[in-house]
Amino acid sequence: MRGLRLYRVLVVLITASAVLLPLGIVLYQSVLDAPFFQPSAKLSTSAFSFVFSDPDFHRAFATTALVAVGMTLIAVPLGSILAFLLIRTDLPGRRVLEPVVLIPIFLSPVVLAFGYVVAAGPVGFFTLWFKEAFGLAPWNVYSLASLIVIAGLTHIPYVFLYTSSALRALGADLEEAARVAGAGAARVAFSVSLPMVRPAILYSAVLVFFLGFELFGLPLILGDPGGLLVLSTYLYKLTNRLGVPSYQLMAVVAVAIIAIAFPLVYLQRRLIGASARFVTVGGKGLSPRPLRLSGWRWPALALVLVWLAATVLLPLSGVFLRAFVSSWGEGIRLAQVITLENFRELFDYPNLVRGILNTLGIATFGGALAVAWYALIGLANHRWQSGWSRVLDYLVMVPRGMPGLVAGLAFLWVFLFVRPLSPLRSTLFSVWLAYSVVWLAYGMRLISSALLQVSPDLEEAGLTVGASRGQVLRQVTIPLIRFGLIGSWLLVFMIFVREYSTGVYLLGPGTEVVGSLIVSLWATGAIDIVAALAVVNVLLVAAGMGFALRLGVRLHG
Amino acid sequence: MDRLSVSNVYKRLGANEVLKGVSFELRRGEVVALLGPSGSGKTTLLRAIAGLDHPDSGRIALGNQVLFDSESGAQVPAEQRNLGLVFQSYALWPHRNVFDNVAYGLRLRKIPSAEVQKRVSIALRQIGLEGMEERYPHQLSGGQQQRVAIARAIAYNPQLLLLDEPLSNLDAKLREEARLWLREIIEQLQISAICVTHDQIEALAIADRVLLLEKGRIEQEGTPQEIYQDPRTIFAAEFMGSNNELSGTVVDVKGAMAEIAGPDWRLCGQLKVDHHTGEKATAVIRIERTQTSDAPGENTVAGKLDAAVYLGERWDYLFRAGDLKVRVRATAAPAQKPYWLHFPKESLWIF
Repeated sequence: MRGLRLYRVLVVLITASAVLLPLGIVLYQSVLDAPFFQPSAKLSTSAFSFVFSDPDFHRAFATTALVAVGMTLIAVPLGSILAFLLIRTDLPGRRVLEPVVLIPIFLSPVVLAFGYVVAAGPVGFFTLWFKEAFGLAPWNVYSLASLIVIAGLTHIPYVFLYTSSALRALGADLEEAARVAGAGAARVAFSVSLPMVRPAILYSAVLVFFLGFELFGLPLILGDPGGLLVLSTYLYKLTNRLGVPSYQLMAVVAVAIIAIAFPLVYLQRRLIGASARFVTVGGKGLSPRPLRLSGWRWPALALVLVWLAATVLLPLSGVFLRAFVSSWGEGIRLAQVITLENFRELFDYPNLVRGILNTLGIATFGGALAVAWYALIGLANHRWQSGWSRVLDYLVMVPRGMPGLVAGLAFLWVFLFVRPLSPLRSTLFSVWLAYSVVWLAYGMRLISSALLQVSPDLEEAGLTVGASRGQVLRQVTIPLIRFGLIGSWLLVFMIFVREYSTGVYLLGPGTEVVGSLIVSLWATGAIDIVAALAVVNVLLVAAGMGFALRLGVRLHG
Repeated sequence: MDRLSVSNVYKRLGANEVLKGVSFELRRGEVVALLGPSGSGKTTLLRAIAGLDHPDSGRIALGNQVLFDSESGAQVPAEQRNLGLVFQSYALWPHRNVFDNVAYGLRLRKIPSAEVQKRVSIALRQIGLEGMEERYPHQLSGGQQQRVAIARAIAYNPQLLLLDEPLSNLDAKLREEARLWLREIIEQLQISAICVTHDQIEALAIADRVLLLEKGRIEQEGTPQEIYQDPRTIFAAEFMGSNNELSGTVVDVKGAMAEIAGPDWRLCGQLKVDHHTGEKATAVIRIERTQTSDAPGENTVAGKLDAAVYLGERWDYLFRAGDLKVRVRATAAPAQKPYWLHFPKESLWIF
């Protein structure tokens, strides 16, 4: 009993310091007038006055809000309709499509954005081919409208994720009742199915809006040439704005982002409970009897495929094509420039090779370690009747309010500020810790859904035959969630491969990862290498996804 | 409504033949019960009529309108069939109040809102729920929810009302009342209806005609009295009511009557299927037809009282007579005396 208590208290303390330390340091830095390591730094609100009076900051804020609203307006209706089509109707091929529509979630936004540039940018493959065929190509990927549309389309899977799980729980009889009363398929969707899952749709709307404030990869690559700044790219650009390290200004922007994110995270937490409650009111009869679309089957399928083509096929084909050509521009024939040189070139740079190996290592071993840590937290919290359990619940939500870029910055400061930790700054440990904390809330959701599968009866049976709580945890609970842990590991593997923004500030010799290398190389214009790295990134994610699907892991965790 | 005709409807689900060629007709104003054990295909048949399931072959027509025909490929979608369906779960939409639930079908038919108002209140009055318009389904009792489900199904004057196990979600006491109420409302509305049920009492109480289904086939069809009092097959006899069953050998056949015997008993009964002397057979008699007497007589067997169960309005006796176990309904407490079991020969059916 005492051992269990000690373990639980230790888990709370370690988690609390991993989560609160970076948050605290950002807040502290924001009220100083100079970087915290300068002895002359004094408490002051000057950084706030500077940032809040900067017209660029105001523009970035307005653009961010506009993008967040715009992408929500695009993603929510389309994502809900997609969920309805795939879950409730007899759309052809829906079993195959279900995992496929989740792909954009696992693709790195920098890779996607890069793909859009090389596929449909001013001299992109499809732009030039289109021009050749029709004389003009009337679009511009660098405009605000493009950014909003691309952000909206690539965030549809998040809406799909939550709306579909609510729709799955909906009794078929409720829709059939509408059908018999005289409603066609579209009518059923809009008057029964979707209103029934309104809480889930609302939740996903808040989520997408929130993700809009976190956007980094898309605006960095698509917004920059047109001079569009959002909060995260504004923060990123601040680094070399004043020539000297302007940590206090960066901290203020980080605080601003956190201040917007926290209420949204809290709102999501309130809504997720409601979204589960609402559905259980529905009718019974969970036998999945798909609604017949009759004449609409093929047009609906075409719509889904067009979306997939625009969000997966278009950017990915751009990335792959670009990775296999030596150069590209007007008047160049594809056949003349095909080459493997870009991949060979990767090996000329030790930091790139290290980046790939680091990425593999951090995703494989780091992913396993992260899942182990999440599992330790989950098990500590499992059936713990204590106020501390609630504290832990909230603690794991905190990192949700820190976008990867901000968290990476905060951890850089932690490693600079906390003397005993400084030697670890230039090791992969710093990147691993930042990754694990950034994805803490996500990982905890995976663990708790695995723990939810364990019926209390099974554990109580262990207690009644005389096992202690600790023994029950080790001998009953852990063996029962084994498969759930393996599934979580694969999902975390993909997420860690995909991650790019968290490593940006931690990037240095020894801590290179593919995602942050792409970000920093993009700025230097090394398109050939970026394309090759992007392909490596996509292939690693694909390997993880193929393995997960093979094992029957549900991609929605 | 016009006559509904279902002919030769066949449906297979995987290796399982759910419906093996079912045909029947429903006349105007008639109430038919589809009665059968679970897995008999009754719900599938109802869903095929509603258009929610599609048979593999056969034909379903309502008057001149062909709803489904595997030969011509005709297939009217559920929403265009203009039928009313009451779901077993009621399937009331939790996000709509009573008024909006009932008004849904009317609004889909583009009926002006004043008229909708009027017709919803008529429907609610008919089912005895006036004044409940603003309530949400979760604020209603099970019985009230069922009434709303019926109101929703009849509000737009469907050609035909389909009921899927309408009473199975009510508790025993409420079910008894609802049975009478349901029959009353169907008569009042003068609507044709098909009611799927596994509960024989429900079928007998509600329907003008009962179709007894077993393994995807219609086992027997007739009025409630015919089905109960004159079963044609041993399945029909066993499915309805509570019965005593005696297995033995046919020892004599005399026209419509026959004698069946076991090791130490010999009884005379009505021959329901063709049998020859020497064949194995089963004799079935309803419990309420089995009698006790104080003295031996025609068609009697000596019985030893094994147990007696008090059930309030009556007693159930359990007798043993050699290898036979026989239940009898009685009105009096058991006495310490020799009993003779009497099987009236007009009530003893030999299959």
